[in-house]
Amino acid sequence: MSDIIRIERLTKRFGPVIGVDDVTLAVAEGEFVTLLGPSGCGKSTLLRMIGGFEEPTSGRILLAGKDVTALPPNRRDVNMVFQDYALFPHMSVGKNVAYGLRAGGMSKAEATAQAREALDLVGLADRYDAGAHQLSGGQRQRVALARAIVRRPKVLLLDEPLSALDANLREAMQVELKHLHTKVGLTFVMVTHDQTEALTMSDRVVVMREGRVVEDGAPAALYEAPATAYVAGFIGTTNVFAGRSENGVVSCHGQPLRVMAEGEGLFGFRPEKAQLRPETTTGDNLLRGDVAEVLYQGRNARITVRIGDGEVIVDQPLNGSAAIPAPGARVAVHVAADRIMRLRDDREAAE
Amino acid sequence: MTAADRDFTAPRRIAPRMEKAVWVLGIALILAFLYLPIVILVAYSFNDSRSLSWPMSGVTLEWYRTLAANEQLIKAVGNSLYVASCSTLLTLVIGVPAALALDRVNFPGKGVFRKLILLPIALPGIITGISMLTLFRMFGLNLSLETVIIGHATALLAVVVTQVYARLQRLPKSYEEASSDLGAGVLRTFFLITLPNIRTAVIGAGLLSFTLSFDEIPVTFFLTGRDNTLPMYIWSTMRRGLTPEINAVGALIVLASAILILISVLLLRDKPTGR
Repeated sequence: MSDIIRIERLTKRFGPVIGVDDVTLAVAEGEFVTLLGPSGCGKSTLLRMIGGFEEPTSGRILLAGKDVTALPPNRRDVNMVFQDYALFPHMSVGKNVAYGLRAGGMSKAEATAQAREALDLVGLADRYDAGAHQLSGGQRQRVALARAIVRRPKVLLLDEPLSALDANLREAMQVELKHLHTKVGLTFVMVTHDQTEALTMSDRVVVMREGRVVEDGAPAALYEAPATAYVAGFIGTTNVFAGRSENGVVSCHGQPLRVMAEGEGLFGFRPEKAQLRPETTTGDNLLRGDVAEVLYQGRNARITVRIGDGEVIVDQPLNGSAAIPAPGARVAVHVAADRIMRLRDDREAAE
Repeated sequence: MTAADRDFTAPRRIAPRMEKAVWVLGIALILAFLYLPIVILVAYSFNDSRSLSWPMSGVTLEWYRTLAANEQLIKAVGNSLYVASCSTLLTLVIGVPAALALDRVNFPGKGVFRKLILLPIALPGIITGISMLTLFRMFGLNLSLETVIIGHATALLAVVVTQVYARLQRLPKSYEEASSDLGAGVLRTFFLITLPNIRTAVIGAGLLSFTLSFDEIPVTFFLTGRDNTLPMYIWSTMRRGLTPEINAVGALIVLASAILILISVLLLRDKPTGR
């Protein structure tokens, strides 16, 4: 696979504020890449620079090997699904979808036929003549998608495409977008602040923070083995503690834990990788403490256990096999040595 | 219910009815204040006596007939229509791009530009008139209806820019971005996306400009040559006293305004847009 987008040392300043800070990134053809980060991390600005809506302060953007840094949006072979969809309110659904084809000089008959095809692809073939205002949120989203893919761009950009939908619809659309990606075979670059969305839909997740790329990898790799404490905390929940590992043993809130790594720094484990055991259990890698809080979450219970001067969170599956301890109960938390990750802190990550 | 209860509640039961009556009276007074003069004007345009005495002695169309025969007056109406149409067109052609620039483009001195463009509306017409007269004299331009058009346009620009700018600010930027994203150039985006969405503001500003220009006197007074506009003509005949012909002209203007308002309402009838 060749790189369809190459971003080289891209920087965007808004006066004294740095929006995007020296980002270098490549996206392979056909890939579904998600830019993930909290609001203000520069992910939207990066996307808008790829689309041509913001001019970079420095750096280059190459699209299929061609430098497009200086080109306006209408001369770039990318299309965008806007956060507010930006459906033209004075046009019918069909005219909205055909707009890009007509702007490209296609005949009316041909544009109409292709627009119908695109609407069929998103399951809205029967809404061709409807007004944009007559649609529900989910339908608008589909029209925006159809309008963007109908021109068969080299890259489809999606700016928080699901954020305006309610929770149920959002989950359904996640699956649908992923299917659409497979079906049309275009390169998708999506921006989101929702980690579940990023993990569910993408082939690759690029985590951003303060204008920089922090980590970049497949969803499973980022979740199972995040390199930094920041990513471990941003994608899912992680119990993080600082310590020095000597002879494979590190102190977690004053109690010894066997780990695989050596050295001093941050360590952490996921709540679902630890298990609650009765207080009387004996063996290695047990942290003893009191249950401080129990949160019922349906599929599992999230239990906060006070260990010495700190706390760890444990997710206990609620499949009927184990009773939920009451707050105040003495328990032991077991976490296997190979489940404990060595995480880099901000200082180490910067090096 | 005890007597005490009744004493307590009785005034409260009357109060809403009283309140309603007061409101209706108030509204009737306001409407009378606004429209009574116009009603009287229209009524007297059909009066068959030259004197303005009540009750009217009879009904006639005589004054409309004399109007139709008055060539000077018809010429003045034509001039007014010419001036109002041209100055409206001119302000729209300058004002809409100016509003676009204010809203979409960042340039140095933008804040000052915005205030300067709005200033003429606050200036008394006499000032605009005198200053433009001086300017035209300086350049040796002869006064004519065209100089009047330029004078009107400067004052009206503020109206158009304010209205169109306000609408542009409520228009999401993403429409134009989406249009550009879909391959449309600047002009295509303007005519196919921006203009249809600010259409109502442009038409509204245009109609308002037309009306303002149509009955403008101070600027016209300074800048016109030998040609008279309708308000100027009416004003000059007024020196011979209030005549029934003038009432008839007034009634016709009221009718024309009503038609204009009707047209604007029809044009501006928005399709339901639930965003």
